[in-house]
Amino acid sequence: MTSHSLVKSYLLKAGFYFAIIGSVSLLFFNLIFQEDWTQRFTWLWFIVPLPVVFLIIARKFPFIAGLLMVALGIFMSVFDAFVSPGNPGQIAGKGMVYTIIFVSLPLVASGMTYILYRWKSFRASKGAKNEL
Amino acid sequence: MLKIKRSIKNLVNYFLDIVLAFSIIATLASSYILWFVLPRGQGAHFGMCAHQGMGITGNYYTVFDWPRYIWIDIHNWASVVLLCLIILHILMHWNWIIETLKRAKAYFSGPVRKVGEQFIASVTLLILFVADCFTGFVIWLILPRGALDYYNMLAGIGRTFWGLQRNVWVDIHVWLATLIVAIVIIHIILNWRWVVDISKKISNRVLEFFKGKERTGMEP
Repeated sequence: MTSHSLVKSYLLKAGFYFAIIGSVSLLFFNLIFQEDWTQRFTWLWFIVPLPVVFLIIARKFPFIAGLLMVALGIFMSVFDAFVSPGNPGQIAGKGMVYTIIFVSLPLVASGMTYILYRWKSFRASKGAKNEL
Repeated sequence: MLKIKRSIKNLVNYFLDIVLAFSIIATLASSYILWFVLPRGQGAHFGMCAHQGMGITGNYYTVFDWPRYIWIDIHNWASVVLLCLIILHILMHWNWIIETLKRAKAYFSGPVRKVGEQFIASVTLLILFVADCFTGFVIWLILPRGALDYYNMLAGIGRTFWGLQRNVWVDIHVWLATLIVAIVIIHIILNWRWVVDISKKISNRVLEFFKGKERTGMEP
């Protein structure tokens, strides 16, 4: 295995593992918002499977999946900045810092890794074409 | 002889892992109930914990007829059992840890090998678990739940440990636990082949045992 393909293989695996961390964190983030007294955030359940869908997309289109993953990560932080469940201070784990570190960061890291992987593959294929 | 020893060790590991899995499930289930089903109340009950600490100032709901305070006890002691099992798990895999440490240097200069990933996942899991146990002990023993905690926390004058209020320790505790769940999933994915192989071996042996019994039962 060449060092280039080794790096690419590492990137794919790292992207996958970051996505798993992001998915689990997203699930618990959603559960925090389900504590809202008025049940305003039940729609967040539809976001929970998204990282898994993006992982499936990443098998064929890593760049698009990476972009979607980054967008989802950023969206969760923005969402948390503007919206709050109804009983502040009583739900453990609610806080902007936690959302950024435990939800957004793994998702963005996963997305960036997939984008980097695609970029490296693109450069490698371009280099091979130039050699020909 | 060596083969028999190895097979016994595998069997012990396998069943210890099953007990470990049940222990993790018990801890996670109780933590899920504490976090989302019976979240903390305002904590203004002072020393008068009438009705087992329930009432308008605390969470007065129950799960399986047990109030939040019983669930906290279940969670604490299930975690202590889990801690003991994990120490046992580490001791039983001590040789693997030492061997893998020695191979770590070769790993980083060689091709992708699963053993390195397993090692990184295991070490991460261990570090997270130790940190989570520490935060758990802080909120259990050093900063136990007290009267007017909620109001003091809002005012920023609550009791602190290392400069952090109790609610911050609780937040760190729950998010570390979330990370542990994620890494446990990765740990199982990485060791999936071993789990399937040993499960197949054990189920084959059980089937053979029952088939043998059937045969001897049919003999006149």
